[in-house]
Amino acid sequence: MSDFAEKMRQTWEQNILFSVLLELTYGCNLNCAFCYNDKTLQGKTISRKQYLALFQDLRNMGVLNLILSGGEPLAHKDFFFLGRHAREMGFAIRIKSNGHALHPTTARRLKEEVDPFIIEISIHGSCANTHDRQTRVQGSFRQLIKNLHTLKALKLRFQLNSVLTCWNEDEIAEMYSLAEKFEVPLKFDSQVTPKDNGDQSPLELAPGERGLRNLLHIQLQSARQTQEGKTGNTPQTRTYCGAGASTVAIDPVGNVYPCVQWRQAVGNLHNQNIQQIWQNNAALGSIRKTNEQAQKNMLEQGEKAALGSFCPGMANLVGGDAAAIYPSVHLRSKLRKDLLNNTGR
Amino acid sequence: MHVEPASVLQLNSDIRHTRLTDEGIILRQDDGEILVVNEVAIRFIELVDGNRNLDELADLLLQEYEVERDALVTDLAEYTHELLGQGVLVQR
Repeated sequence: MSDFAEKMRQTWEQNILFSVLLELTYGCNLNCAFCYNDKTLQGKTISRKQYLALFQDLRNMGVLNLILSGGEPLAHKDFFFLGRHAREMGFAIRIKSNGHALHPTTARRLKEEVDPFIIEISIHGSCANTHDRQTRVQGSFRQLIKNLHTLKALKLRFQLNSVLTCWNEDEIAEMYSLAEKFEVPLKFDSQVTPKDNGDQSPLELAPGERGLRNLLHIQLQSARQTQEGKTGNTPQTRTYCGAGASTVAIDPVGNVYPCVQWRQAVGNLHNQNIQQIWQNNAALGSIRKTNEQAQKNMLEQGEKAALGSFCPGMANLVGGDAAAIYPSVHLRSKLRKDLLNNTGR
Repeated sequence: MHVEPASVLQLNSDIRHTRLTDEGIILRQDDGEILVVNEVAIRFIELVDGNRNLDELADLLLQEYEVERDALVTDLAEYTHELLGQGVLVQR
């Protein structure tokens, strides 16, 4: 295990807050068919002053990673103000954006004022038909490709993120090729998630078994290439993931969650500061215990644990129990095992 | 790269850092490289502000750690040389 991996393991084990995701706004310049944000969310939005106090608290707590997300974070009226301050305070800033507004002027401003470590950009297909169908904005694919060239020219580090759906499952290889052209990684999420308010309608776009198999096949080949000659072992941790152990997510009205997926509020910034929410918090204690149970449940699956990726937040959304293994984990586990058997590991 | 007691040091603009348990994490944003350093090293990084020279930085560390001045200054010069080579620090 590398020194850094060991440090990350310690953050989980000792409940050290290290990464914080801020959903600055649910406003967006696109209109994605499967958007998980709860746009009916009520409450008073966090002010500039509250954000600056939060940044100071987070730095005092030793947090390094600050993720600016949304909605579309650039749609927040104070995006550059907050980004500048976050940079001055020494955060490593990640931005999760749809990339639609990153035309040359904005991209240059982003580099000069915010200087993010990386921009994670959503892409929904390898061509305009598929991408624009998802974003429901004509021309968004063409604009995105143009903007990616701008980011590349400005030497802004970025990666592409995509959710596998029944609309793009036949374009996986082409999407990887597109990422290769820009010499950036493409990260696929193989799960379409329900909306944060529990609405299951986005699941209508979930990929089919064939799409999942294609993705796993390509990922397995790629992993074999990159892992060839490497050795190493996965660190054993008490919790299944860092949710509530080293990460939190905060929505636009100040609700604090264990992570962006696990929508069980453990406090609100209008009532307490983040240090108070992080320490001696019964709700957070309960989340951590559930996360430990999720780890135990996965380990009981034996080999399956390594084969089927699981998310406690997703488990909570689909079945109301964050430690319970849900059907799509078993499906992915089975598909991956079949692939490994067929190709001879 | 020659380092003298009067050398004024500052962090490269792509450097981000924090303390984590009894060590420090230094991220070089430009290449994504992460360094894990010991407690004294991260304290040194925290004290570098673009105004203090190596001699002043040594004085500040001496107030916090019980070590011989000569040994500290020698170690600090060597470590500074290393950090300059790694692109973590620059001389003003």
